[in-house]
Amino acid sequence: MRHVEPSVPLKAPFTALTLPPPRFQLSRDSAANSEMTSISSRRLAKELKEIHSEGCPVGITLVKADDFATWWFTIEVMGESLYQNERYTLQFRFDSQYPISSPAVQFVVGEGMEAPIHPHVYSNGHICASILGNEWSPVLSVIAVCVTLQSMLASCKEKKPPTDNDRYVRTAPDNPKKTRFHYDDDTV
Amino acid sequence: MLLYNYVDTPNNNLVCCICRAPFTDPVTTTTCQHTFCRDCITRALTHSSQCPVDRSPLALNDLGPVNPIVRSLVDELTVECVYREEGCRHRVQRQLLAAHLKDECEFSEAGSVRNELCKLKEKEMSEGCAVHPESSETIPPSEMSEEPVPKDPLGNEDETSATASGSGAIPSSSRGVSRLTEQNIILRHRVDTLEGAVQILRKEMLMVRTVLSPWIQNCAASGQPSTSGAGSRIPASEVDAGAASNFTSPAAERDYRPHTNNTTPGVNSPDDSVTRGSQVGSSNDERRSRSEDRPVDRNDLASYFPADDEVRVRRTATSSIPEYSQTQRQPRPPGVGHLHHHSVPSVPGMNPGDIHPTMSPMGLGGGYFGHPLTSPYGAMGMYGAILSPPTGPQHQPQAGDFTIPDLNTSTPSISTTLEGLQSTVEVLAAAMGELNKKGDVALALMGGGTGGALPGGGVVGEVLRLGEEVMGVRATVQGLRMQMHALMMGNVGVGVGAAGNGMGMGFSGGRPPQSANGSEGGNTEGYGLPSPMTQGLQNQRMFYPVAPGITKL
Repeated sequence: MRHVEPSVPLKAPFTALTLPPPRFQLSRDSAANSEMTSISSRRLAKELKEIHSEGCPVGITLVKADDFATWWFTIEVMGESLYQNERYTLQFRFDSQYPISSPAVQFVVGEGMEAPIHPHVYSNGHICASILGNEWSPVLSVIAVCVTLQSMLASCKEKKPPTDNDRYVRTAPDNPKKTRFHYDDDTV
Repeated sequence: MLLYNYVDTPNNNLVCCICRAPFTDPVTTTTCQHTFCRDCITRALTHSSQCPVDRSPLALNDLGPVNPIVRSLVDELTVECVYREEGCRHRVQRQLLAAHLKDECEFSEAGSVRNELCKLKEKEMSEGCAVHPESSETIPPSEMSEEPVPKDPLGNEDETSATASGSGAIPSSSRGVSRLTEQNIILRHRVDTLEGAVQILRKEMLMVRTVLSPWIQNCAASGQPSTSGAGSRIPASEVDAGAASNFTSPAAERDYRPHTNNTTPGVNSPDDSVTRGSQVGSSNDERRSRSEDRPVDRNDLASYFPADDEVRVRRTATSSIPEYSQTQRQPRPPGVGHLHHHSVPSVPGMNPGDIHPTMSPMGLGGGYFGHPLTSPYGAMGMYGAILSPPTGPQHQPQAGDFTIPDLNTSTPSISTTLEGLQSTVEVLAAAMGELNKKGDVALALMGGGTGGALPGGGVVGEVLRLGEEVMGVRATVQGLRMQMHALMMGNVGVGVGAAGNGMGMGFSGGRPPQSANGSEGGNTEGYGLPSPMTQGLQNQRMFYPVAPGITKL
């Protein structure tokens, strides 16, 4: 007649504990409340912990990561490049399906910040990059995106805007993920 | 997906690239040998059907089990207890954390309450109360679920405040709860033992029931031992018709139907009872002989019995009992006269065939007592048949019919059934005594002869007497004949052989009348029929060797 009442309901063996939403956050930052699913938040928490513990790669700095919705980074192309000594701010927006779904990444424009002039960067900051679209993988991370964009800038041969920049900027949505970019240029 | 605090940084190879945590329920792609958490890769495949690592085409079917080594490595990673904030410093393998939280951790909500209970228990044990060790398990989970869950994933302050408030409230409520749970458990144990005892009792009752099933049915059906229900077709010759109606049991009783007594309160026609009894008897003879008795007339038999409450009730209920007893014990004449009245017209109707219809109920009666009794009872039956006017199977039971009704399960209780048995035996004994007396009377009747038919002489006596008379008449006739012959031949003379014979015969014939007369008159022997005949014959025979003219005597 043992009526065992576990403290928490038990599930399958290896997912035995379903605790309430995590009370032990790896980051003790006083982040503002943000609504997210536990998966993305845990993943982002992990990434954030990694960033805090291991630091960012050279040229990449974390500007703001108060919540699990929007993060800001700055990237700077190191070494000899067209964009030498230029610092650009990247904005990452995460949804509940991160990392399954890709984050919305764009350059921050305004308030003294501008988007780099690049054949794949529109003047409103939207970026046409395959890894942000159809080539996104959950394996990638925020840092990985930053590094990729850093290398994209570094490998640019010519500073020129995209050919359909004006048209796109006029009709572009707020979220670059809504844009069906056509990835045709692999050289840049 | 879970959140463990891994004590050591896990090996990078054991980390899922999607959730960046050590694998939980890992699976490996069969196509490209990449390992992910099952949940992670399942969700990823809903987005795009390619492997997250190398973007090779991938489907859910391509997920297979991981190498067991990987699984073991992952399960044995050391993690901290999730209640580290509350103070638990326990570290355990990831696979053992659940057990720790369930049983050991004292800092979880359940654990803290458990602690309180343990302290209470120790107090009570020291006070001598019996405390059940399992009471701690019955902590209502609502207590734990009610603990506020902070929405803020980063809000440690909220969490600690919540736990503090929760722990403060726990001791006071848990004490009452613990007491109730202990009582609950004690009561549960008692209930279990009682249920076990009930089971045993039920089985025993079942066995008893099966053994006593007939009587139990009756008890259920009738409830009260029916007084008028019992009846017997006891020698109704001694019983008035009214009494007989009281005595005759409802025929349904004889059937094996439990709903007998109350439904038919004992006022069935004797004919019905007889016929039904015969029917039932023929069909259920076996059963009856085996285990049951006929519900003998408890009303009248009650008088023979030591006082029983039921019996008394029955006695008072029926007024026929004293009548019956009186008729039973009264001197012969009334019953005899009764019989006589019946017997006279029955003689011409008597034939061996008539015995059988009456025998059948007798047979029943004999049968129910078992086979050894059949024959004597059958004999009685025969007597009864002779005495009674057998008009077929449906003859009046009053004419010495000894059919004792069957005992069937309609009798309400075993005691009444046994009483019925005993009463039946007594009735039979009385009936036998009666018959013996009747037989004596019959013999006496026959011995009485010309003295007139003594009442109660019986048919047998009558017959014998009549036969005797016939013989006497015949002898007289012969004597007369011979006298005539002698007279006629006397003139002819002596020596005529045949005539002499005839004369001798005639002479002798003269004698026989005398002898016959003498025999008739002088026969004082009891059973006279043979003797006058033999005397006459002797007289006649004696004349042959004697020469004519010489008379002997």
